[in-house]
Amino acid sequence: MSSIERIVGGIVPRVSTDPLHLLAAGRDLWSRTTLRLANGLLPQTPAAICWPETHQQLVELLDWASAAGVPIVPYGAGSGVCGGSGGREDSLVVDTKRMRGITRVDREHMLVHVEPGMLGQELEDRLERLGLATRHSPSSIWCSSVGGWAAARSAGQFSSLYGKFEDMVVAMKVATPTGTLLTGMHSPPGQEDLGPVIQGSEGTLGLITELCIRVVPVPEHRWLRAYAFPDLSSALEAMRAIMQADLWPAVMRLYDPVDTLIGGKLGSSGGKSSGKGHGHRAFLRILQSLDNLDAFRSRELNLAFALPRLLNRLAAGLGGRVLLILGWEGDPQIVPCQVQAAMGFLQGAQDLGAAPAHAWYQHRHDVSYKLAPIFSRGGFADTMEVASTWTRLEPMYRMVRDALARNVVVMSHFSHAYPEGCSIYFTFAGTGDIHRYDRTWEEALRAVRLAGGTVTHHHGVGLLKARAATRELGHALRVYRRRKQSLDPGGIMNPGRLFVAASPADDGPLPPSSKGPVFHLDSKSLLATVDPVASPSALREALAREGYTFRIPPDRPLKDWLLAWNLLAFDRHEVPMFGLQARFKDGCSARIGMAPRSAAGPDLRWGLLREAEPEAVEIPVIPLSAPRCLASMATPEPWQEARKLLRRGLRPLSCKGSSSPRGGQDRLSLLLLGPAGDSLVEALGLSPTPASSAKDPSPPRNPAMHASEDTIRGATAHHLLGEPEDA
Amino acid sequence: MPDPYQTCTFCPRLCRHVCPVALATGLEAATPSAMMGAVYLARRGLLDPSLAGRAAAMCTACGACSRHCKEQVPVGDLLSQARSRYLPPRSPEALAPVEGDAPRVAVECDTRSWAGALARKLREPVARLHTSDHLGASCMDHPQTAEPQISSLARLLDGRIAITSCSACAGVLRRANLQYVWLHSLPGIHVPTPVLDSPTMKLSPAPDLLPGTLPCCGQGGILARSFPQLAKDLARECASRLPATAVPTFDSLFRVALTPYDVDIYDPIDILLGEAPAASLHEGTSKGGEAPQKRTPLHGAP
Repeated sequence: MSSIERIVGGIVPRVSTDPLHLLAAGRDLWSRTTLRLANGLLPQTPAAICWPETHQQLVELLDWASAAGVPIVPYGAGSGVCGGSGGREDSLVVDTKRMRGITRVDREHMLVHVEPGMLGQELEDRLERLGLATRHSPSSIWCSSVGGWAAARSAGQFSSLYGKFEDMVVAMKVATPTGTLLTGMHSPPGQEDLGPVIQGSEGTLGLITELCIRVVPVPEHRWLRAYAFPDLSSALEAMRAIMQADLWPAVMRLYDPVDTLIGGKLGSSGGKSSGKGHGHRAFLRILQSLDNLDAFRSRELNLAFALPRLLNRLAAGLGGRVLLILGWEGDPQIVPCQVQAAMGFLQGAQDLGAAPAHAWYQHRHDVSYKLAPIFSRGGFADTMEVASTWTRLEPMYRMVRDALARNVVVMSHFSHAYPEGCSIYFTFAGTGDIHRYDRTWEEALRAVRLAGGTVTHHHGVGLLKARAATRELGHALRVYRRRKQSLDPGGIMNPGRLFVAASPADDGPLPPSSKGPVFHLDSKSLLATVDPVASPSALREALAREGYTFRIPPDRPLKDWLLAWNLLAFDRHEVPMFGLQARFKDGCSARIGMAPRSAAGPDLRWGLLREAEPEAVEIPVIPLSAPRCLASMATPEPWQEARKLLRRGLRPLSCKGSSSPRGGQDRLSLLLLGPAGDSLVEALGLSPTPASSAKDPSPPRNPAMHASEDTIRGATAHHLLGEPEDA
Repeated sequence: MPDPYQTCTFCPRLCRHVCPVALATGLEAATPSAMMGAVYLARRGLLDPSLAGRAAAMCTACGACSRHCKEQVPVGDLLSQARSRYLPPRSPEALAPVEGDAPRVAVECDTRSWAGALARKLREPVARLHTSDHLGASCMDHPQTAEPQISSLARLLDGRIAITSCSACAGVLRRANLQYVWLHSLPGIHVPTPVLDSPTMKLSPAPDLLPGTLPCCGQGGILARSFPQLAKDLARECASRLPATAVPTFDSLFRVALTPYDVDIYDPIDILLGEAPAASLHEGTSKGGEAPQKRTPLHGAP
């Protein structure tokens, strides 16, 4: 027995130096490692691996490792695709898969406590038997763990309704080298909530040992349909319009022309190239065969992957229509209202019926089976998920696609849409050695940076994007490093991953040069870059001059308002601060938040707001002309009614309970935004209030922390609202 | 068809969530992809072959991964082949003689009298075949041990119908292409296989695996022989996933494995005979504080 085995064995019940276990823990699913393996190069293996079973064991283990200077590599299910896990020679791998219970089900608040090593599919299966679901459904759900979802800021296929996994987590228990850390609603009063820093830290700060996550009832009703658009731009416009109209689709997937052609998704009329030359027909045949696993073994495909430039050039010539899959799910009374309202944005599209959408739903995890045959044939395949605002999205798509197309065959789809922007998921395959693989990534990541997007939306950073993420965050990394110093002073946690040691080449962005209080208005992404110290009234007036108003109205200057904002008040769809530019005392500045829900490491905006002087804040706005609807209902229990409606999936911009001072009946008032408002009011039996009453939404409140306040927002209350004493 | 070992090695572990061993043990090395990967590397000369053999010995050949796999890779068979290549053959216990001349033979792989119970139920004599190693289930990888065992078994049964309640024994009988009936009364553990219905015995149709339960208890095959601790983990996991605390079981190994985990066990012979006392199907508390589901009448009971 080795010394590490003996010592660790005194803390954790199971530890091994068996080469079989070390080999298995030597890699995650990073395509680079797989490519090396295909070329006969084994991954590095750790010194030992252990399987803790309790939080306390982990705390003791990390305490020992910190004193002994032993690097710790956390390992969940090893499904990461960026090299974020996997042993290095001198490390101790900590495998969390023997911590995999559901420790508590709280139906009252729709919260579930789960341990990190549980596989995603197992969690959903177990919850389903209780009538519950997270509806977090990444394509890796069969092979990824819950802890990994949080550590790398995972996103699922229904994220436009339910949010990313980070939006579902309301609290965590974390073992760090300096002890236990509680986050979210369990974080100690008066202290900074480090939840946003832990999520996305990829095991470099500590090991998550328990998560408290939001759940929903298993959806009663689902509506899925496919549409063909004449081109990518018109389809993206429809997606943007739907997301900005508060219609909350669960599924919104747009395939680019090449991806649309695959498998003949639009039928025989899918491409414009029919009737063109032999090359086009051959290309079409290849693409349309790619839905079939057998095609991945054909010689034809070998040739295609070896000549990516030619294939991509032919693809560019296709132009062609694109496929959009849309879906809503939830309450059978609410979903039809949302669907009906969305039809107004689909006028230019061809309705392809439900079958293609249901086919996608049925086979939504099958795409991963196509990876192995490509590696088996000596090629490589990989995916790249980037994100940006709507304004920068299409240019970024073209820049990144062109960068990739120089080296590999590339196709893509747009999913994970937000009111402010969207993610693009590039899938590429090619032939060649590790140098070609590295060059492909290097050029593509450079294109993302130049296009102003984030280098990762939900796969995380690992080793693959460590340099790019470091560059993207610039001086904001000081925020992370300060917390790293505090939680892991010895630097033992997953060393070498997530970020590199390099410092930014310059001092960061210059202060805003335009005149405030509104520095810039991105009307396409519904984002305003504003002065953080301007008064709300001045901001409101300036926005109104442009035809916009706050989505979430502040009640004091933004800087103070945001500092007081409790993260628990986050509705998954209500983001009070999108981007932030702030200056440190030494004159260096940082700007972060250029894309929705970046997974380029932790969310550092809140720490940056605390540690540097904000110069500009990017906030969500809504057009003054946006349809809105105020409705109310007389009820002796406004908060019970509010909770029922929110739990059914209604997403009002705000809801307010009011009691009658003269013994009259209490009322619940709701402000609904978007074209579905009127039909929702009718379907739910609410009383419409004259349009003139529908003014700006009321300031948001945190229902958990301020139970006596009378206004709550969106789905936050769905999970956290208890019984307010004054209800 | 590409090398299936290679396919599994490069697959992003898409079947790990259905593999009972991987789930129960939490071992990365016990995922079907890792087991197949070890064999793939050994075949390429990149890994010590004995490690590949040990990796393959973690498979119970329950077939859950193959049923899930879109490529339908026969992982269990391939790992059996790997074991025959990388592990030394293991000799089965000598088969005991069949006791009795009746046309039906109860295979008894534990200490209970299945033959007597069946005889009472069928109101006719039932012969008995006792086996202490599940008819040599863990010795089926190597042709040099499997084939003589299959021949001996065929001679021993001599056209008679074997009746077993154990998946490991049923696996040997299936492999030997002999007539058998599997009483499959562990719907919460074993994946039912098609049941040979004899003209005189009408048994209930094979039930589906209960939701959330595991397809294999791993007590009868190579896993229990090679990795007793892992087999124990698997038994424990099986027990924790059954929807009620009353666990009908007839496999003594499984019974022993479950004993430390405070699980009530009663004899399925009682069920078979229609004598299972309802009072014995009591409810308990399952993990997570949720009320356990009430156990429905067992499939397979006449």
